[in-house]
Order: sequence, then C-alpha cells, then structure tokens
Amino acid sequence: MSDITASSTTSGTVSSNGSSTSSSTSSSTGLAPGALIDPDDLGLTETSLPTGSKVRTWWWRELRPLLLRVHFYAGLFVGPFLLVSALTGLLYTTTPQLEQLVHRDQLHVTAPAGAAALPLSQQINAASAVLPEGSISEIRPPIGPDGTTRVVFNAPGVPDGYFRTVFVDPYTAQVRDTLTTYGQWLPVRAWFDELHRTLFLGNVGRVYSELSASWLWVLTLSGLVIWVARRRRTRRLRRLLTPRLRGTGRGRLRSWHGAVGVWAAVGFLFLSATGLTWSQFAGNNVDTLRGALQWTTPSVHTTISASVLPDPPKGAELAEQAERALAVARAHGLTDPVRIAPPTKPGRAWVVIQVKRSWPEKQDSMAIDPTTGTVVDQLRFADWPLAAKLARWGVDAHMGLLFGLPSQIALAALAIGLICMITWGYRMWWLRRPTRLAESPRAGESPRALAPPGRRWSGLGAIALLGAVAVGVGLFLPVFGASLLVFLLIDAIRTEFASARA
Amino acid sequence: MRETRVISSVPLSVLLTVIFAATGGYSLLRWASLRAGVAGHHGDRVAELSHLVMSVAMIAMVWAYGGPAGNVAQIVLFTVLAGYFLARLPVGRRGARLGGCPAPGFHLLMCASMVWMVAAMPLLMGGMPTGSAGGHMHGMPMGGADSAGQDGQPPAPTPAWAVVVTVAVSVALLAAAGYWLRRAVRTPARPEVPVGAEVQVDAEVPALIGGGEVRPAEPPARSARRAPSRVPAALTPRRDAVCHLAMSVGMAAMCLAML
Repeated sequence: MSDITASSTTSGTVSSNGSSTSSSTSSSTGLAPGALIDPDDLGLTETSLPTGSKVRTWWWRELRPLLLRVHFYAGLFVGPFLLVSALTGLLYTTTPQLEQLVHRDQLHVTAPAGAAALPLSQQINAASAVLPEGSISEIRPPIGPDGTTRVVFNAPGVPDGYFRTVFVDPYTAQVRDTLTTYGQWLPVRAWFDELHRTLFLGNVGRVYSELSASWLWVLTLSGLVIWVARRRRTRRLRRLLTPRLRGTGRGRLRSWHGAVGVWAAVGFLFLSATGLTWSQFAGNNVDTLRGALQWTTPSVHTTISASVLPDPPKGAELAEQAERALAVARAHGLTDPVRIAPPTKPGRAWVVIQVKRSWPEKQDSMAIDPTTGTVVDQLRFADWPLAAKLARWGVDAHMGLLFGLPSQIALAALAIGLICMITWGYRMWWLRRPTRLAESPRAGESPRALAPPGRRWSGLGAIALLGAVAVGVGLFLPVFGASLLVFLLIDAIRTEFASARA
Repeated sequence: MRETRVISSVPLSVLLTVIFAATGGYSLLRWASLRAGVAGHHGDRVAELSHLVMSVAMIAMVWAYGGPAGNVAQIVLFTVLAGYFLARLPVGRRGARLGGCPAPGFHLLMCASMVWMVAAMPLLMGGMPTGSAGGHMHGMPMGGADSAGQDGQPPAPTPAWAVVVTVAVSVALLAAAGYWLRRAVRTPARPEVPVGAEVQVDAEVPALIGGGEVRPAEPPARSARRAPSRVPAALTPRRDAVCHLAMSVGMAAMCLAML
C-alpha cells in the first residue's frame, strides 16, 4: 500500500501539466473547430481530483490510465478482427429466413388433401437407394405437414463435419434433392456459418474468431469501467446513457461510442463468452473446466444389457428399426421435432432426441432397444444440470435461435452497434493522431498532456496487477495470452533498440 | 492437454512450481517497474518478459498443461527471443551500463534451452508425443515416473545424440547457475540506487502506434521525479542474480528429468 501511496503522490506532479492545459481545452486542437468540448472529453479533468481515499486515488491516478491504454491499444489492433466478426455475424442473422427462401424446394412439399405420410422405413429406403455408398448418420422426420424427411448420410468425399442429406417427400417417398449439409444447416446457412467462424481458412481461420471473442470482453469491460467511472459534473446519468446529439468532433464521437457501449455491454459480454466456448484453444479449456465441474451436457446411456449383442443394423433392417424406435419414443411421450440416430457399435441402442432449439426448448432424449421395443434410458431436459441448460440456451441465443425473430433483431442490433463503435473508435484516434497534434497551436505544450491514453503514466501496482491477471487469463484463453504477449514483445523490442540508438 | 508429466513426483513438482512462480512473479515486478518508469537500476523489458513467459511455460511443463499447438508456439517464441538476445550480444556490458540487457548471453542460453526442451521432449520421452496422443517416461532420475510403455509397448530408445545434447544443455544451465550464485554472493545487498534517493522517471516510451511517428523521448520535467517506493527498491541486482540462479537450477532440473 505504501507503494501505491508513493506513486499516487508523485504522479500528481506529472499530471500538473494536464491541469494547466485543461482550461484551454475549449479551443481544443486536433478537434473540429467549434466543437462542443469540455475537459471531460479530453480525459484531463482527473488532474483536479487528487483527493479522496487511497483506493480512489490509486484508481484514478494509476489504474485508469492503464485501462485507457489497454482499451486504446486493444481496440486499435483487434478492431479489424472484431469488425469482420461483426459484419459476418450481421449477415448470419439473416440466414434463417434466407435458408427457408433459398431451399424452399428441399424443405417443403405440398401436402395432398387427406393424404397420410408413408411409413418412415419406406422413406429411408428411398433415400438409401440414392446414396448407396453412404451410411446413415441420422434421420429427421418432417416437423410439420408440409415438411420433408431428412435422411443424413456420412459419405465419402465430404469435408470433415459435413454430411450428405437426402430430402424425401413423406407422401410419395420421392427424393426431392440431395445436399451437402453442415450439421442441420443447409448449404446457404452453412456458408455464412463457415464465413463467420473461419473465413473459409480452416483451423487457421478459427484463430481469427477466437481472437475476436478473446478480446471483446476485455474491450467491453475496460470501456465500461472507464465510461461509468468518468467524472461528470452535471447531468451524470443522462451523459452516461445517452449520446450527445449536438456538436461535432471527437467529444461527440466519444459520447456515442460510450453510450452505445453501455447499452450493448451485456450483449457483447454474452457473445464473447458463448463465442469462446466454440473456439479452438479456449474452447478446449472450457470443455475441460466444464468436465471438472460436472457441467457437461448429459446424454442417455445406450448400452443394451442382453446376452447377445446385436450388430449395428444396415439397409432395410436399419429403416425398420428406425421406424420402430420412433414409434416407441412417441408412445413414451417424446414429441416432434426429433432426430433418430442409429447405434454405431454392437450392443448399443437407438437414440431419439428432441431438437427444438427455440423457447421453450425441447431437448429430451431416449435410448431405445428396437428389437424389444423397450426404453433403455431416458433423459429429460428439465433434469439437466443448470450449467448445461445455460450452455444450451447460450449457444442457441448466440445463433439467434432461442427467441426466433426477436433474437435475430437483437443480434443484428449488437452487430451494427459494434460496427459503429469500431468506426467511431478509429475516427477518434484519427482526429487525435500525433501528427495532427504536432501541427496544432498546443504543440508547444507537454506531449504528455496532449498524449492519447496510451501515453500516460501508469503505476507499478496497476501494471503488475493487470499483468498478473493477464497471465492467469492468458493461460485459460491462449489466443488472448499469445496476442498480448506478441504485442508486448514488439513494444519492448522496439523500446530497447530505440534506447540503444539514443 | 498433455497426458504425461516430465516429473511424476508431486512434491518435486510442487517445489519446482514454487520456484518458477517466484521467478515469474519477480520478473513480472521487474517488467512492471520498467514499464512504469520506476526501476531503480538498469533492465531490459524483453529479458523480463522472456523470464516471465519462461517461468509460466516451465510450470505448464511441470504439470503437463498444453498441447501440440502450444509447443509449436513456444518453439517459435523462444527462437525469436533467442534471435533478439543474439543481436544484443555485441552490445554486451556496454549495453548493460546504458540500461540494456544485463546478460544477453545467459538469456540466449535460456531461450535456446527452452527450444531444445520443448522440441526434444518427444524424443527424450521414448519417442512418444507429449500432446494429446499421450506418452510416457523413458527414465526417471528426478521423479520416479512410470517407465512402462503405453499400451504395453516397449519404449522407443532415445537417440544417443539427443541424450548428449540434453546433458550438454543441463551442464550449461548448471554452469550458469554457478555464475549467478557467485554474482549473488559478491553483489552488495544494498541496491544500486539507495532507497529514498530521487530517481528520475524513465523517459517516455516511444509509442508503437501514433500516426506512424515515434515521438522522441520527452525529457522528464524536474517536477516529474519520483521517490522509489518499496517495491522497485526491493528489486536489487542481488535479487536479480538469485532469480537467475533459481531459473537456471529449475530448468536444469527439468532438463535432467527428461533423460
């Protein structure tokens, strides 16, 4: 604590430059002429607030400049990645409607009046005839009377994670089309999904989205703290939550950047957290953590206790067993929409799982022995651990599925907000670039007083504290840690060589 | 996540963890004091960062935390750092007096050792990868690890040249430890800059980003002088030497444990 006090005391002299300049900020140089600027907008008014508790003083003198520095540099360097994530995410929010529009022929049929759907086994056999080289991965019966049956195949020549899906008319057992799908997503949604996740660069591309997710929460939290703790003499709540509509220049941009950020902060933190669960490196750590805390998504037990273990079915036998498994599941109360997965090993049961991912979610599942028609095991979504439910809801909310159109609109608003904030951030930096300051009437003043947030002093305690936090977080979020380290090393190497030259 | 650890002995692992946590913490404080401009004596930010990362990497190695991608990243990182210290070698003692890296040769050795340890681990540990595929110990001089092969397979023999290089690296690290022990004993306990004396705030760091311009260092104003607080004053050359000593011994122990 003595260290903190000493640094706080001494930094008061450093910022005396700021005090002397704060009165002249209305003629703000590097800003648009006539801009409605007050000292708060230049971040200079902290110089008049050295009093208060040690913690408050320490925060104001040491931690705040460091947070400004982190927010400034992180925004500057990670901004392009976040911009790409926001743009591709914005496009992704349109995919539910786009998918229905582009693939309406595969997804929908005209139900004949009074006609009943043909047996599921007949539809599966029709699909298998089209794709004899494939092995069935799952079957998705139609959700409504105008829907098609999807028979999903593992097939040779299909990229990892992708399948070949045959769409069958349930009333005629005619195959309407065969498409390469990613999970349950049809090609158009799979394309946007791949764009958002990897930019079509495979595992290398996944690093881009992990970088975005790893830094979004840092930028959000640092920006939120800076903005909320900002000194405001008048209309504090209004200036915190609403942007300035009048005026020009950097101060107005900052008011928009800050106010929009406050409103979007929870959404950004949510997107960052859920995005990290999908990521390549941090995602593995999240999985490990969930496993250690027993927060993993539960699944039904599929082992059949029988003296003779049946081999996984094939061909017509598979089709009949699928139909029987579905009938047993429905008889035990499992309602549509469902997917039916065949056993992959000898002695295992079929699994029928509800797949409704909108609120209220249906995720019950049953393991069924089709030879005896018995339910081997069942698991209800209501019985999932809370953490597993939260993970399910989180993933579905991130994808805009949980609340349908309102979810999509909210996600689109967040994406647009992020795009605007990044643009305003870069614009603010441009308005305050050092070359412009050098041309200004204030150029004769202390460079430190004119410096952007990245140039101000931070105390040893603040740097060591954030450094220790960064080490811990960097181990859990490797892309965050690695990118931070690369930045610090480049900065340090440049500094050392510059010192040597000097 | 690696499945096997270099050292199976938990007490020894804990001891090494404590050592590396101490060296990492000390390096963090040294780096922070340099970054904050309150370091009372010379230093090199790159060296402190490399110490910090090295300490964290060694703890990860002790507890088998990481994976193939992490290994590649470490090899690249420490190779780059080795290149930096190699470039700093000609500056030598003159650089140290001017505030540069005090021991580029030593730091070069440490970085090269890290590259070797990470790269040679599969070779030294019976030809089994230490990544997600798992692996096993070829020998256990330091901890008594399980020497049985995975899935009952006999362990692949370690190439003789790899053993020779590892022994050479260990000897070099131990020699470095001896050097730092001597420095620790001979260096006066009091800091170079007495506590309570005025210490100039370091010149403003040229910004990495700033409209494409690196602003020349601003001469610190007379009023911008700081009395060193207890933390930077405690970061003495003697403690630096002890930190280097602990790092050298710890890394040599890990190196030998791989044999």
